[in-house]
Amino acid sequence: MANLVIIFLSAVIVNNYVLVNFLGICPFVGVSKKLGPAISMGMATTFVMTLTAAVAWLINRYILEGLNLQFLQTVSFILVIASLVQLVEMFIKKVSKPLYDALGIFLPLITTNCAILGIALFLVLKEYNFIESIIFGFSAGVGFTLAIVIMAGIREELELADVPEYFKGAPITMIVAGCLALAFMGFSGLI
Amino acid sequence: MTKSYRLILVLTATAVLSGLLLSFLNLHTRPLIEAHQDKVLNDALSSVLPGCDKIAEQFYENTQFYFGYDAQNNVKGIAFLTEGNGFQSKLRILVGMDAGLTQIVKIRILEQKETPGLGTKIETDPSSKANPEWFPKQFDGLNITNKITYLKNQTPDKSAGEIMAITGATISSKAVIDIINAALVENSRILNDNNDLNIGECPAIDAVNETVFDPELVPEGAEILTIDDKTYFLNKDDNGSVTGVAFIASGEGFQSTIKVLVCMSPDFSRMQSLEIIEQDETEGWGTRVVNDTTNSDPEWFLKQFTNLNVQKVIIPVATTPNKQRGEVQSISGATVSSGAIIKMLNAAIQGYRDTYLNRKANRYGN
Amino acid sequence: MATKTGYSKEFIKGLWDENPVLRMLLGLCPALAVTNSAINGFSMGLAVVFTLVLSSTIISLARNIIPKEVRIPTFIIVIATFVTIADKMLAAYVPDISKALGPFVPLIVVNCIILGRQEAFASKNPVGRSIIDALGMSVGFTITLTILGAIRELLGVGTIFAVQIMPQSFEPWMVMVLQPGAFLTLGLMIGISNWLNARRAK
Repeated sequence: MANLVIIFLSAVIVNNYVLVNFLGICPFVGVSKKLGPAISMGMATTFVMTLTAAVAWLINRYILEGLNLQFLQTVSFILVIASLVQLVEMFIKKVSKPLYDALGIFLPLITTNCAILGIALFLVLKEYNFIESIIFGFSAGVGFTLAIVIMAGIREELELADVPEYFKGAPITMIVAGCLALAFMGFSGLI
Repeated sequence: MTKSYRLILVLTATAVLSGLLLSFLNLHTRPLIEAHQDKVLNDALSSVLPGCDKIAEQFYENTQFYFGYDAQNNVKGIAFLTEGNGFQSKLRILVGMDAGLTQIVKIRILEQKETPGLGTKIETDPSSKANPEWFPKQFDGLNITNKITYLKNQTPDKSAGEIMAITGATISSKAVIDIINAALVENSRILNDNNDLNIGECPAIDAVNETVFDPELVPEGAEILTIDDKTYFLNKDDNGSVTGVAFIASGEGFQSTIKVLVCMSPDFSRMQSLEIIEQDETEGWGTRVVNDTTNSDPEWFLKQFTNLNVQKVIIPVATTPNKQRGEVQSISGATVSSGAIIKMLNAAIQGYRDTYLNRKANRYGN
Repeated sequence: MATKTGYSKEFIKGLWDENPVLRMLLGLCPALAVTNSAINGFSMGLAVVFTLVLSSTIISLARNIIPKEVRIPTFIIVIATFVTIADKMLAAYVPDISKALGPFVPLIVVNCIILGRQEAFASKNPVGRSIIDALGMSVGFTITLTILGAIRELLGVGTIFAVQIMPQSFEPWMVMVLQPGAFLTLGLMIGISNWLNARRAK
């Protein structure tokens, strides 16, 4: 139990997925203009990440390791993730209209989000067991949500700030992310 | 209909081509990658066990130890690999000790991703041009009869087991010391509990020619003895006394599971023969274990095990082996496969010997 | 003559006008994650050159065979294959660099630059142009990552490509080789490139 808590805290705060591991930067820069979409994006990502972690662990353990095919890791993970996201999208569309309206348009964007493939690769690297992998996927999603929501909050305020013309948009976002990363460094050593 | 047929065809073809290409690549790169990993570990081992002629692996209680032997086959040093959490990353440390377990000979940090410029000083400190490895070098010859402790801004005393912590990276320094301390306590206990079994010169045994166990007999034709979860096949002479004991061991080879039939003398002091029952190694590389076409005697590797003294561990060597010392020459170019067999045999013989001899003593009162 | 200038234009655009990192904001994850030294940025760039050029070649050659409906999965398989080749080659021949880049080599698969070029260019253009386009884009990516890595290494450790540049008395700005330094440097580089571009336009 204690190690699950450690995995959670580590993925959310200490080794925050976005600010420390640099995964999922594209949506982090692209979808952090407004708070509302940022929250939806975070939730959709968390959902897919948790699912990916479980599926990737099973594939790695029973197909890749089982048949000694680790060299097909990248190819099989990306294909499975791409089809998984498609399936989830179709499933949600059928089952829950409100959920689809909230998350739907973000799902296709998630396929090419390196954070998702990153989850699969990291959980193999860290040799997590099944439960730990699911917790890891979920916590990494929460970490991503935390970062993107904080960022969106700051960027809404930035609208009112007098940013030099050439630094509007991506450059100032990067610099703010740098400051956030600096703040998150304060957590290192917590675990 | 033809449309969807074509979709499936193109996707399948792409996937099949991709799989083929990658398997060929894997055949080519995997030996190189594994050879590199071996080299890293071997380099580290020869640095923490300096002056040792041979280094042999042995497992005790699921912990792997590396024994360094000198030219007289005496244990000169013992090394083990340990890991734990540093300040922000996992640390893997190889620790070499003297045979008496009183001193650290040397440590090597094999893996760390600590804060660049601060925590990384546990491995190298670029700011100290004269002696960048001052922190790990502090462990050379460090007294470990008591726990290792750390100091700040004072001159440490090696004979008292003291280490100077890195300014600005006290947590990383402390983590190294804590990991080593914890491992030392546990591993010294394991070594002390098992020490007398396999270290040092072993009594000589005579080479004997005798009928060895015929692997064709397994399992139907042999008398089977099952103790706990272990199965033994007994070879008996006409008088009914046991002349040989065989068992099946398996382990991971270079790319397949290797299954062997190990035939032992009844007192488990020497091997009678070794037969490979099952293997699926790379043709030409790993299959040289069974059939080395580059040698005038294609079965030279397996024949080495006949009459091999196994009272201590089996040691892979690169030069001419000495059977009395349990030495076996590795196959150059297939060290991974031959090493895997030796490693598997060491673990299996120890386990099967203990169970068999103890059980025998109980049953026959001898 | 006309095709020649066409080719060089195809190449040049990746270096500046459509520079993937600075102008199009693609491939940011590796740009941030592996640029704590010039050599790491450079090696990552080379892995991308290899993957992008070969994927573009194959996909451009097969552009008339691949049905529209399954083009994305086909592209992904092709890309993932070349990424795996690059990954294994690095691990086999330059293990130290492979260790430093870690899981970011397999992550090239989801690098938007690569899929983006297949979709936008290679699947619609003949082989020659596609290769030139891929070269331009990936060289632009490599140069940007190398510069980013060099700046961070210079300020954070005082060296470039492990050669001491700063005087001994220089106290390294540790933060530059850490995560915040990556964001700050890239932010400033994008800002400066915006400014240069605006000046050029005037």
